Parts: sequence; structure tokens; C-alpha cells
Amino acid sequence: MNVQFKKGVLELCVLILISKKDQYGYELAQNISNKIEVAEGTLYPLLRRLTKEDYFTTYLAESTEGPPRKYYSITDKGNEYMKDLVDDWKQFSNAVNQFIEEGLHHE
Amino acid sequence: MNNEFLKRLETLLSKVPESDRREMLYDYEEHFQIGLANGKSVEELTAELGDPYVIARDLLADYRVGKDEVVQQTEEQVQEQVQPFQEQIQPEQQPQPSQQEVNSKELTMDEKAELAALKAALYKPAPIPTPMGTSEPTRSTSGRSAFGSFMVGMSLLLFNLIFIVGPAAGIFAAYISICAVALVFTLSPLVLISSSFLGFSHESLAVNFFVSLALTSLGMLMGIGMMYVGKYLFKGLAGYTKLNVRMVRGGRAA
Repeated sequence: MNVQFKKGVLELCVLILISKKDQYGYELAQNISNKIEVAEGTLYPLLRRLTKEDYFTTYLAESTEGPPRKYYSITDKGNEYMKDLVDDWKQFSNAVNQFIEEGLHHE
Repeated sequence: MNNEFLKRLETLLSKVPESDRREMLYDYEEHFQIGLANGKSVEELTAELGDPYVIARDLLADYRVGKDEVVQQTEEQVQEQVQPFQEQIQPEQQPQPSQQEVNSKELTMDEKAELAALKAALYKPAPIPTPMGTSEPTRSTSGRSAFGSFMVGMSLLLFNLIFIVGPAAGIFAAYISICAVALVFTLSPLVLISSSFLGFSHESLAVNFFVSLALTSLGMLMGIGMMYVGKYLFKGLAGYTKLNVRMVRGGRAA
């Protein structure tokens, strides 16, 4: 899949997944790479940026095994942003779907 | 905890101050530790994480953009503070030559050189990652989020496909065919020469000669005209390409 395309959609997916449940990086990476083929390493820069823009906050939590884990949780601002993106996405994908349907009917 | 991937990433981030770098690397150390605890091998994890170059580029781009924003903000604040004083001191200050005009002139100057780079930027969204030593200019969006520029990019793509490609193809096809006509006209004496060799139309040689002379001069004039038209077409194309790129990147455009 096209790289820019994926980057944009990935941001939306990350916001949605973390809004559903606080997650740590590894967990999030697994959840996403189960469905979308992605270089997991690029998720961390994305998480950093979204955190810097106050869409996420982070906290460390001990786990029963292994090191403490850095959890990401969504802020109110992040929720707002996600809603905007979802609206954008719906509008956009509707338009594209229409184009596709019209295009395929003509052929 | 130290493996090839982490070492590589650390080297690539060597320009970042120690504390920020530790923070960036921590995410990956944690990733490896949890992954290993879940029974994956270092090789598997490294393969899943992807290219350290790409990761370092993303991290550095955001890092730089963050710093730029800070600088810009303070500049704006200073401007706000300075402006009232300026207005007091020089109420009838001449409007400065608009920055945009100056910029656009500079742009047309080296447009040709830039076009290639712009095309590369348009059609190759994932450039080959460069080693961080030769710090490439920040490619990342200056004004928009990744999602924002993605939306703008896709919308532009649709718009271009539907409204621009057809007419543009028509114009270029017309241009090419007129060029071909000009070339054929210019070369028409060859037809005359070859036909006289073959023994045709000796009786109307004078007429043919003058017709081909007229056609040649017409063809040459058309050719010269087409050179100018071509230049404008090229400029238009370059300008339009640049406009698209600027819209996708956001900011700066206005």
C-alpha cells in the first residue's frame, strides 16, 4: 500500500484503538499489525507526536512480568481531534466510494 | 539490553541531545523486552520494526518541526509586541514590497531545476532514506498533520484526475501535433527533391518550388512560435505541480 496513504490512516487507527482502551506500545503494535501490514517501528514516532500535541498522555505501569510499561491514554483534546478525523474520513470515503461505483458502472 | 537495531538507531539519533535521545530509545527497548518475554526472537522483532533509517527520519523530522514551532511562536510574539510601536513611530510607513512577489520571482528563476525534484516528491512518496549525517531538509508537513495532508493529497488527486488530466492531455496533444505539422512543413522541400529525383511533376516544378518555399517558411515560423508556447506550457505545468505540492504540505502557501 502507498506509504502516505498508510500514514494518514494509521494516525486515525491509533487514535481509535487508544480511545477504546489504554494501551502500551507493543500491545498497540500487535493490534494494528494483525490487520494492517505496517513497520511497527514507525508507530512510536507517531505516538510521540500525538503525545506532544496533547492528544495522548502517558503513564508508566508495572507489569507482572518484564519491565514497567508505558501506557498511552487519550485526552479530551485527542477525542475531539479523533471525532474530527472520523467525520473527515466518512465524508471522504463516501465520496471515493461514489466515484468508484459510478466509475465501475460505466465500464 | 543492546542489539544491532538499538545501536543503529542510537547512532542515527546522535544529533539529538542525550535526554531526548534516551526517551526516544526507551520505547524501542521496551518493545524488545516485551517482545522477548512473549517468546519472539530479536530477529523477528527487528524485522517487524522495520528500517531504523525510516524511524530515525520520522523522529528527527518531528523533533525539528517541534523546535521550529517554538521559534515561530516567539517570533510572532515579538512581532505583536513590536508592531504597535512601529505604528506609533511611522504612521505613514510605505507598504513593503510584498514578500510573496519576491518569492515567486525567485521561484520562476530556478523552476526548471526544481521541477525534477518536485516530480520526484510527488510520485515517490517514500524517498530512499538518507543517512542522517547529510541532514536532508525536513520533508515532513510544516503546517498540517499527516492525516490532513493525506486528505488534501487524495482530494487533489481526485480533482486532478477528473478535471485536469483530460484538458491537459488535450492541450499537450494539440501542441505536439502542431509541432509535428511545423516540422513536416519545414521539411517539405525534401519531398520536392525526392519527387524530382523520382521523375515526377517536372512540368510543374516552378509551382512546386514556390509552394514548398512557402511551406518551409511557414513551418519555421510555426516552429519558433511553438518554442514560445512550449515554454509557457512548461511553466504552467511546473507552477501547477508546485501549487499541488504546497497544498499538500500545508502552511507556507499563503
